Amino acid sequence: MFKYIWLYFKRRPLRILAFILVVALGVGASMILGSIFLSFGETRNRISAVNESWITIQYLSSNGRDSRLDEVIEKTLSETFGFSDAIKVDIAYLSYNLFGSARANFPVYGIRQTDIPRLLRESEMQIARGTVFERDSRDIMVSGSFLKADRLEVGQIYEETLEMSTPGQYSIVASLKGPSIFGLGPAGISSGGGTYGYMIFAREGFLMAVENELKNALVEYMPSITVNGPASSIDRIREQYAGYYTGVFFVNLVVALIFTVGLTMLNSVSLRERRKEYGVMSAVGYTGGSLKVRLLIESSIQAALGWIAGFLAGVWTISVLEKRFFEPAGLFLRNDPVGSFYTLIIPLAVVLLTQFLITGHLKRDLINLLRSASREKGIFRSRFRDIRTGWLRYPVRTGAYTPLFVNVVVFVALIFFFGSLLSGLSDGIRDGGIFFENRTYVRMADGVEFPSDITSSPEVKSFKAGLEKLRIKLLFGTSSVYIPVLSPEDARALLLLNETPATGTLLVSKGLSERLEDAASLGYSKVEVSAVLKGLSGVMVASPLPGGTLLTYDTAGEAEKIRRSLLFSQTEMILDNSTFEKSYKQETQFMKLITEIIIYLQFFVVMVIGVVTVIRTVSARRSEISIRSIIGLKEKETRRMLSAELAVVILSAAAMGCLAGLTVWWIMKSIFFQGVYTSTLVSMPTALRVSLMVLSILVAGFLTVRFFASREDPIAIIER
Amino acid sequence: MFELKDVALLYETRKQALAALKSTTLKIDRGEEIGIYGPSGSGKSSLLFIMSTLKDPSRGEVKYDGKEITALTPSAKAELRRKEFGFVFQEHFLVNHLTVRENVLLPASDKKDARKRLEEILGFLGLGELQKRFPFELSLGQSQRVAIARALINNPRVIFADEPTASLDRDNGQKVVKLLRSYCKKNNAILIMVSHSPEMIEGFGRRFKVENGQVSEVTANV
Repeated sequence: MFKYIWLYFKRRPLRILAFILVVALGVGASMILGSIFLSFGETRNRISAVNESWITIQYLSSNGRDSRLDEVIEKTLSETFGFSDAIKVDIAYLSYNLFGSARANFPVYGIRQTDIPRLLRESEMQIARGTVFERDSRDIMVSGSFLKADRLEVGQIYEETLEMSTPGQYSIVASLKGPSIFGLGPAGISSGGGTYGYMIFAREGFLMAVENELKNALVEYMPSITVNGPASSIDRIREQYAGYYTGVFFVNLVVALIFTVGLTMLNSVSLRERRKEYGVMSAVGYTGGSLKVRLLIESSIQAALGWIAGFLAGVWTISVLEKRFFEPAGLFLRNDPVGSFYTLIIPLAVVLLTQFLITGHLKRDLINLLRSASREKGIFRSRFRDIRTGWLRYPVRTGAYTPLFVNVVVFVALIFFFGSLLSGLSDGIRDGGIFFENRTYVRMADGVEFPSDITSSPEVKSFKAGLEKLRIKLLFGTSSVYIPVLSPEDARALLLLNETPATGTLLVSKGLSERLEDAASLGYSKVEVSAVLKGLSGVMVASPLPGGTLLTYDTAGEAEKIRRSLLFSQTEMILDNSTFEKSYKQETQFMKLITEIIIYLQFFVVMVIGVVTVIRTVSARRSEISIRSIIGLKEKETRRMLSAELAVVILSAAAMGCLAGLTVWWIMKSIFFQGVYTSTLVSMPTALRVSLMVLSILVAGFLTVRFFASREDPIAIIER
Repeated sequence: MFELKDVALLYETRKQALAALKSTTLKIDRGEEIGIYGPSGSGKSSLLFIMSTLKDPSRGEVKYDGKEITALTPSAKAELRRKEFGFVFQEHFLVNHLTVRENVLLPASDKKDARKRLEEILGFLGLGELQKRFPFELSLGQSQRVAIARALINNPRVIFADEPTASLDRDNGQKVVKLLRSYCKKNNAILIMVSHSPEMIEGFGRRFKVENGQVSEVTANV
């Protein structure tokens, strides 16, 4: 029996390889998707990890430190452990960007400079870049992953936007590296409302006991005073992960189901092809039982090899994804090889289902089994008898290219669809900020004068300006388009107009002129389209409201300089390029990640399918290549024909995929997302992605054709 | 037209060199009918493959029209086969996804001219009604006739036929031989036919027996 199994493997290497590859793909995909879904939890886990280094006792206050609560805590600490070891802190919370809408908050501890070494040592962190913060400044040192997640650099200004954060701006002076995510800043960082408290340290192993002891001691002051440490952290993580594990379980269940069905279909085709073999073997005396055992061993070996390959590929791909996509976005992936053993369900299910299939075949009587093996289907051939184009004949008369065609259509459609989705989600935000590419709008707090030293720079021109807001529909929610209100003279100077516009004129870009349904509140009397205004932008000509200044400049670095100058000024609002850039990045980050993962995964899948299809097709046509060679057709001609076939299949599939993707998007947009702003039908990155994918498959296919066509001996067919 | 001088084909094995074709020297002129027979594995097909450039000899010279052809590039050999030679084998070797018409036109070097000749050839071979059929829709005899039509489409000066009747019944076999001979006679072309049975090459102008790689002319004895 083993001899026949070995012979089957030896004679059908491509079929075996294809099966192993699909099992591997299923196992790998399941592992990768699981890890991606766990990445949010993993990043939150790193934020909670700081609680494993020390305990914080904290309370909320809107008017600085609460002396009564401080006294209670100090007394408890003094009575229970000795006070000398605690550090007095105030805590601000910054928002950690977990792909757009999903966000998590991490603490920034306001401490004295002398406490920095201890905190870094206890948390096993180090300063990766930059210098420590200055006293009485707005300097902060933050985790490197936070900087990556928000696309920030050391030396930049961080503007908080969420309610939970302490209002104001921070200057980032250093990035921290290590297992936790937190920040450090000078004492007093929570000036005004915020969180205040103490940090308590203990030797490793005692931290949890101290935490529990403190909780008991302060029980009567809870929830005004909270105690956070490793014990609370474990509870929180357990709570967060319970949901994640359920989600991951369902994702894996779906992936396993898809691949199990796909693989069983593949096996069913293989079994149909082998009906003759089973018929002959039954005729020479093999029992149904022995044939079933043989198939069980065959499919178990293939499934096991596929699982091992998929498992190794999954572990490798996850580490590549982490380095290529997640780390640059400030996120962490969960790479848990041991936890990935659940993927064994895919090969096991396939082996069992294959047994059911062969049982069905073997139920037929012998003659029936042999007859069914010799029936051929030829629907394609009959329909295209008169086709004149040589390189179209094989693709349309046989089904050999069908898997490649279908896969390219589906994947190109997916890229187009996701590309359009991304545009629908983000174009409004991006184009709404175009006006502020080289402009900054500043509004000071009530009663505060605009600092005159900023406008004294010859690079910067300033205009008194008000600000109006227009809402633009996005795929999920809306985006704001800010319209500066300028005096007629300033509007003329800013937009380089030949004539002074009349008061009440709304000057708009072409893009904005088409969506002024919600602009009634602006109270304009006339709308004019200005060629100077791009994207979604506009200027209202009226008497500007007090308190606002519009600054224009030519150099890109000027915006950061203006922000720095305004760091200690009481500003109510600053709008510049970075405001929109940050918002754009946050809103598109998740979609971009998903799009990129889909593209690269399908890139790999289509490439594998493409090369396997080409190898199978060319290999199945070795006889034809021999015949062509014998009757005098040159290798170049054969190669050209096979390459042309491949090109026509891939390019027509790509064209159909583009059409399908755009049609689906158009239908969805017309039904579900009416009025959503998109700047173009097909964005440049989408076109580039599709071109790159199609080109790669073509090149892989051409190389395979070249390899096979040049190696076929003309008389091989006769000798075979 | 064909001149073989000390041509041999050797297969190297670990222990020794086996001669598929021993030193052979012969000359063939335009319009000749050459019959080669011998038992299976005797080397008769090797001789045909060497003459038709499908295989290179281990040593010796093969001249066609006074030119040495063994040293030609693969592309030049293909060109020679396409323009000068026609092939018919035991199996028809038709391309399964091409119709009869397309299979016949496959090697055509001048498509326009070939299309004009196509009707004539198909009519001559009795295939006029089957042009749009695929090979799997034909009988063995019909398939073999399509293979002959393909061999004749470029008006070859030499036809190589390797056991063309082996898979056919006696009547069909004889018809195939008759067709090939009549074409060669009409066009003053060379017919080189290999058969394991001397009966099939009865009446050929020259006959060669191949045994253990040794080629000997036995024209008078058959």
